Amino acid sequence: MLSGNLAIGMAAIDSGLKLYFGYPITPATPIMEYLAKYLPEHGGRVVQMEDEISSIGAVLGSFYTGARAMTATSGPGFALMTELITHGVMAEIPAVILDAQRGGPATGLPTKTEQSDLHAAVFGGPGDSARIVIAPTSVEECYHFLIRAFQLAEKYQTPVIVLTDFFLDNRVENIPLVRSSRDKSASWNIFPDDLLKNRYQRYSDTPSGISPRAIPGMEGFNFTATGLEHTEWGAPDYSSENHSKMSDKRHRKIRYALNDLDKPTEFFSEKYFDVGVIGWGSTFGSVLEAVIKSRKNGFKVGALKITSIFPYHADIIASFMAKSRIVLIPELNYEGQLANLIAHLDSKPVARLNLVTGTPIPPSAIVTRIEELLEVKAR
Amino acid sequence: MKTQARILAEQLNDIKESGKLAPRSGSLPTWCPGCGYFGIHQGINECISTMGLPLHQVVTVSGIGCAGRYPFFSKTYGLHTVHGRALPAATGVKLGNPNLTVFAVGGDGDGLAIGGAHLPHIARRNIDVNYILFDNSIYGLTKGQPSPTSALGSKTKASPYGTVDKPLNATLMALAYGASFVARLFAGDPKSITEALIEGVRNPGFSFFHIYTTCVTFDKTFKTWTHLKEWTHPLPSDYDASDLRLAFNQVLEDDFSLGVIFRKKD
Ligand SMILES: Cc1ncc(C[n+]2csc(CCOP(=O)(O)OP(=O)(O)O)c2C)c(N)n1
Ligand code: SF4
Ligand SMILES: [Mg+2]
Repeated sequence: MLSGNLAIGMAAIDSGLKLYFGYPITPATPIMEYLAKYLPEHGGRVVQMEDEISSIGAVLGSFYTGARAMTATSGPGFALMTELITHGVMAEIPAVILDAQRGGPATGLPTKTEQSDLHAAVFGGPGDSARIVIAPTSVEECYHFLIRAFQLAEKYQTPVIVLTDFFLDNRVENIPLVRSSRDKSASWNIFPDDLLKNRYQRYSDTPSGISPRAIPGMEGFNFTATGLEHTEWGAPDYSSENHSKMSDKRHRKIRYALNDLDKPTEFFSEKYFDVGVIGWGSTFGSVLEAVIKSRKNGFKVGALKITSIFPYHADIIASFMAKSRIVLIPELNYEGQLANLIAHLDSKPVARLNLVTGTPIPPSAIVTRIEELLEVKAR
Repeated sequence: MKTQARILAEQLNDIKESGKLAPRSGSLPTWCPGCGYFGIHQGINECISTMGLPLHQVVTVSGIGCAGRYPFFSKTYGLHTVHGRALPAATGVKLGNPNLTVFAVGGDGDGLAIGGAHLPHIARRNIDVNYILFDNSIYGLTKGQPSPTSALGSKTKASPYGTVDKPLNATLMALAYGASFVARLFAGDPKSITEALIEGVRNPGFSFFHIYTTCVTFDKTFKTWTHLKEWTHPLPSDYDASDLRLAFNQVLEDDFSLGVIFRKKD
């Protein structure tokens, strides 16, 4: 029996986490407490920092030297981190940030569940700062996604944000876990070739956008990582050509990361649906249950699970939307944040179901909404 | 007879061969001519070359400001972060790889205003980072607003009627926060900076270097070269830097005595 938070703590240890930096906040605190207890015996260390800004700052500093580090927080702390997250984007430094969402905005509803940090996770912070955002839908995925987050962060040299929520963090599931850490802790770093010694361009513009990354201690590869716009060498340069070129490089890299991101999964694959329901995060459990129920009731309904929030698989999502006469996106937020992100992929308007009740969406609410939508259409 | 040019060329060659220039990067500092930061640059570089620290084993971390530009002028590994966050990043660097020598550098706004929350905590954690505060009592990069160390009544474009907030005393703060090594120095005396840095780098904990310096471009009245030269002087000859009470007294009584203010005895 495992909760989402426990699965995350175990995954962190199996990933070979060296340093955890954090500041207490519900519902992320149990991750820090678990690691404070168990990380030392695996050669790691937990440092309770003075705030979330310093937590992400130290995570970046640690990853800059090649040591795996992470922080976990919730919305208010995440908001404080955004400037440095975009620093990780610009300076191309890995980081793993877990945002255990709770009700917002501001201090909001500390002990209630919500999925309202998606916009902040994908877009939060200054500038065009594309980063990787993934969201597990179950306790088992919490484990695997955190491990994947370290690998992606290293390979793509960018902050990776894992979005969970109060409900997922605390819900317990009985899951089969294979806990060997050998491949999980293996480095995904891409180091520069020795031939580049003494003429190393830290931010070389490559077809994938990935520039081999040196770490301190490597002789002949010294460079300065910077959040100022810079040339391939890393020297500050605000010229229009350079900013255009390097913005393109950074975004190309994030698009390229799609190759390593889980594709959306379709349930009840068919050529055509009357209602195609798209779900993410802990809400997906309710979506699946509701779709099963509706199908039993004789409706032609399907489900699509999205775990790669950014970048996302536009082609797969678009074809699911295209073959669904009605697309429904239920979410635990007021604004329809996933819907806002992907609705443009299809020409018809997306139907929404937005609840901010602070509790998981009951499958019955989705069933009712499906039936409502079908009746409206039938009339 | 050697010509003047020949003598200069030979001197330059001697300096090059001494290895003193090795820690400088290929790009010349973009600071204004006459800026106090050149002296600090020299002090740090000579610490690195005198100690023979391998440049690939040294990381210089900074925030934003004229002082924050420092890593670009150094051949060590560099981490130029965002405004105010050099110390958290330096904490991650040192804990991430304890074999590295870590310098954190930054201005008075960077370290005492926006980043002011971090100094107490890196000091009490006693992370082995050498933090060099370039205190010119002004925001240089943003063109001359008052900083947390500007004298009361300072007139700038952002404080046309004079500041009304009392200045902070960074040396006193570092002592109060429990820093294990505290030195107060002057950018016009690079040799003393080097000496103090060498001792601080050897100190296996947090070392704080409060450097009085000048912004020749935006401060024509307060921390000018003339004033700093006139005001500063060495610590009393019988001063005992291992006595914390004495250190507090000294700093409270005299803003301008320079040298190693406190070193924790182990
Ligand atoms: C979050 C943020 N706020 C404000 C700024 C603008 N800014 C850049 S440097 C600076 C102050 C610089 O003063 P100081 O730290 O004393 O360094 P100096 O330039 O004097 O060396 C400010 C306010 C910024 N870059 N980032
Ligand atoms: S503006 Fe002032 S602090 Fe900045 S480089 Fe010029 S003289 Fe130095
Ligand atoms: Mg300043």
